[in-house]
Amino acid sequence: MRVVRTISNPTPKSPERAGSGLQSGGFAPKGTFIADWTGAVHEPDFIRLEGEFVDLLPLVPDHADVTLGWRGGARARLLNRGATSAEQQRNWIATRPTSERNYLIVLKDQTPVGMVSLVDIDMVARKAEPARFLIGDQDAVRGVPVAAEALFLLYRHAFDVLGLHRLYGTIAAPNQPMMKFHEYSGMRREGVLRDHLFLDGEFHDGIVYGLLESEYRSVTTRRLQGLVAMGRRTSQP
Amino acid sequence: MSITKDRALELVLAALASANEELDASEQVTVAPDTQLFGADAQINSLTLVSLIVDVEQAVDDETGQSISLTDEATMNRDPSPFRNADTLSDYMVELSNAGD
Repeated sequence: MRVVRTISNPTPKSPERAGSGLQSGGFAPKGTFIADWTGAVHEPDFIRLEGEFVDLLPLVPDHADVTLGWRGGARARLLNRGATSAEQQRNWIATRPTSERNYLIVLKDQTPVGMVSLVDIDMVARKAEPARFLIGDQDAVRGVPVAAEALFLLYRHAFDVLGLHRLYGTIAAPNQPMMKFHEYSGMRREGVLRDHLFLDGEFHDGIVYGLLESEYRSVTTRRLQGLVAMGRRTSQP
Repeated sequence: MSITKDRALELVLAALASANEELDASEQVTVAPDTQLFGADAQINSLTLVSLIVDVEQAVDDETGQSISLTDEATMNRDPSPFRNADTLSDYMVELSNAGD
């Protein structure tokens, strides 16, 4: 169970963040930090991000079992090797640095369906890497714009709340669907890191992608919100 | 040159077959005109849907030289959605192709 407690009076990290206004899921009022059930204290902007079809919940050790199950599935073979036991996964979650935001993706009925992170958050260069994106429950997300909305919520948090300028990441070359999705959503292919990844017993090229704030505003928002709108339309009787 | 209905449907079904190559055995999609693409009874998720959209747009461009957009604002707001199933999507491709001639 999560509790909110007052610890100090944080200073917003950027003017954009101070002035941003998420319709929901914005940062907590000044003076409030958020503690999860372990007592770990999170920064005030690390709270639930709410969407129309999915919410992103800050990942806590209580999510170890469900996320470990996903990481062991075939879908995760193109991610870096993770924990191999629930205890390792619990410890891994509990020791995430403050430069990361790790989220559990849940449907509106709170069914957990995946995970996604923002890592290596650099508030000086105003950049970060979306990472560990994994849809774990394929059956629950069919016909629902889960991937589109989850990434949109993450990007919106990165650009509108944290005030970042750039997002970047590396995708394993065999992961064609993910590359198509990121290119569709506005990311630009910036280069190839040869044999950069060792996954599932093989070396793979890493394809580098980047997204600037201007591209997020001109392309990403329109396309990902478009998919959410289409999901809304097709979900109506 | 615009695209015919039969050819548009072939391209959508080919994109579904291609998507199956990336999906696990338990996630295989039926390759048929009535395969639902989005909504309550859909067989695919939004990641696969985007992959299908990208493949189909590229295939139309390769075959006809036409650049069609299956996800512009008008498409997203269209009711009923062209993405109900493979057949309705191919109808919409023909409509866009004819409009672009």
